[in-house]
Amino acid sequence: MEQVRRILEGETLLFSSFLQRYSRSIHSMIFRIVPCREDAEELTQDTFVKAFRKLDTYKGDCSFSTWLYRIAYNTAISATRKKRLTYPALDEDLINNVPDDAVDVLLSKEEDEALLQKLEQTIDLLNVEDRALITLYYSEEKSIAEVASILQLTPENVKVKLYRVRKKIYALVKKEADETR
Amino acid sequence: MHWLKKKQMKQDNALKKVLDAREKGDLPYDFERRLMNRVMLEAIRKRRRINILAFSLVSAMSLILIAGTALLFDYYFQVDLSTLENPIPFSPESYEMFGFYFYIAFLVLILLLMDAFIRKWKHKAEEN
Repeated sequence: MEQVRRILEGETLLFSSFLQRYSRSIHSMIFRIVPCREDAEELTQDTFVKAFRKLDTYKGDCSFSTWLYRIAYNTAISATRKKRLTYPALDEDLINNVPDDAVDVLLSKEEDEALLQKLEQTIDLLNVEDRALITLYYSEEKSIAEVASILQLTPENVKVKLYRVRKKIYALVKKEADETR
Repeated sequence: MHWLKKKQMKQDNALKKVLDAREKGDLPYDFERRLMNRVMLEAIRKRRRINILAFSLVSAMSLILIAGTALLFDYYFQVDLSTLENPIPFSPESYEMFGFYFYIAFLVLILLLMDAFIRKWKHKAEEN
């Protein structure tokens, strides 16, 4: 907070320490949502410039990294929305009828190379919001509360969304397997 | 959602493994320098915006004060400024004082310029 106050008072060079600390993790998160090298780099730059512009709105009610991740997420999401990407639609009933235990078993088979390959392909079929959600939770290892703060959702909502994304992944893997049969 | 209670969803090792293995992308070596240049430009723009806003506010306040004074003369003192033939009377003595007034104005201008120059120099020194 002290550093933010000093930057706001005109010590702009202090902002470089935020770049050193967070630029790689922010870029890594954006790159997993927007898998295009140039776009991810541009969006990382935009994230930090926006953060600098809005620095006076940071009130310290969450950690600086969470606040930065929120800007990065919003920047990446609005950029992908402009591209109007389409993703395969799944029947809601199909997702709802997936048994919980089957999902648990499938997603725990970390030694099954064929499954890992399928999962890799399935992740690309998820929409950007779902991809960001699992990236933050599983890869960036953010807590439910942090993910909720970044995505501007309630913790309960995050849990429900994660629950549904897992089922969606299962349904997509099964659908892919059925089609190749 | 029974799995929510189970080790807080950390049992999905396959999913975590796939996500961790995905390419994270590297940043170019001069990324931070280029980004910092953009931030510095943004800081200059921000300062310029604040200056313009301050100047506009001062201008607006001055206009309001002038208009207020004119209204005060018109409504309260019942003085019609437009009908006054010589609102500020000048005598030959006052013309003699003009040289002195210009001298003072010139000194003020020099001091203002020096102030602006020293501030700019000090700011640059702080940034370096």
